[in-house]
Amino acid sequence: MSDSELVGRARSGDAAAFGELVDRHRQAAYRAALSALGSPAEADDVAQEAFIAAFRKLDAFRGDASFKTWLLAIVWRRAVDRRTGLGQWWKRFVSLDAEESSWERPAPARSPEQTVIDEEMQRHVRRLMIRLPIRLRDVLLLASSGEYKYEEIGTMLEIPTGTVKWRVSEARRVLKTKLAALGYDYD
Amino acid sequence: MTDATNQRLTSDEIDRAIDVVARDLTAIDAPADLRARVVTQLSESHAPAFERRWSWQWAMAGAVAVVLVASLAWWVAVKPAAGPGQRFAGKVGGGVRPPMVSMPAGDRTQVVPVVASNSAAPAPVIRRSAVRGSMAGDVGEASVEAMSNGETMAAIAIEAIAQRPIEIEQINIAPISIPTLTAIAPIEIGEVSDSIVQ
Repeated sequence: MSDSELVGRARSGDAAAFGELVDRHRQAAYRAALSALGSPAEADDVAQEAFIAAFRKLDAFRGDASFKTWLLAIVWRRAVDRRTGLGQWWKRFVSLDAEESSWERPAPARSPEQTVIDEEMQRHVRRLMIRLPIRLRDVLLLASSGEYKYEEIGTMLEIPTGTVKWRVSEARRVLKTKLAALGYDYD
Repeated sequence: MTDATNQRLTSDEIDRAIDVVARDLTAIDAPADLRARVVTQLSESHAPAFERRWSWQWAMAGAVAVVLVASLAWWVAVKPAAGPGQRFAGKVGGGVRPPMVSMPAGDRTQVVPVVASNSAAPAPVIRRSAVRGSMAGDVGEASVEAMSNGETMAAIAIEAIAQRPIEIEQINIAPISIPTLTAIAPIEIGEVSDSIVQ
């Protein structure tokens, strides 16, 4: 059953149909929130709130864009609202380390050949990436996750697709420049 | 954290490293029970489809309402009351309340407030009756009230004087006499020289 058909059923109050939509798009919604917030717990809250809001606004969904794109726009707005809330501002003001702790992740499995040099370099890259300007970091994370097309990212962030591509490119350039300053030169 | 020895990498290698790190930061699976929680919450919710939103329009409307109510309360508080017994609004001299003064009303005295100095009509001149007598007697009800407000006797006396019109009963002016000028006869030049020679 297509998303449009499920939306039609959900509009008439079919909660199970809407549950199917949640299952189909929960990864995309959750990871979008995670890209904005860094914290898995907060991303979970925002994703749940966004799904509830989307159900209540189903009458406003006109079908101009896909349900996924429309849903992701709701998720992103809520995630940004939470990010700019007082608590987040205070956390950033008090300590950048406090913000970085939100981005802590378990070490992924690596091949032995990658372990020695890559680990230290990846620590640098990770720290520099978290400290990127927010507008560059958001786009870089969304684009690198593999979940979203540039057009979908543009709709979520309400910016043109060309701007999305430019910000991704600019984020990489800034990271490379900072890595070079740390001794990781490149040809 | 020490830097690695200067490594010469390719741009692709660095891009790959960036991609790996970025993907690791978001490669967390959504909780498996997210669907169940959403469906449960929707089932339990009795709210209608309309969702109340704290939009900026509501915030602006609330702010305007608060300002209007506060303005109305302030206006009611400072508005001078109409009528003969109006309260004095504003300062008088050093900021003290205007005193109550006594006015003869038939065979008794009534105490009325002085009309506000910012009113269009001139303040009435309070005339004491002649039988009132000394200064001490004139400091009547007005002074009692003033003293209850903590004013000194000197200030009370000054106010009592200020309210009394100056009544000039008699002016004694000594007559001014202007002496008449007597004519001085002109001196002849010849007559003077003859007297000096002799």
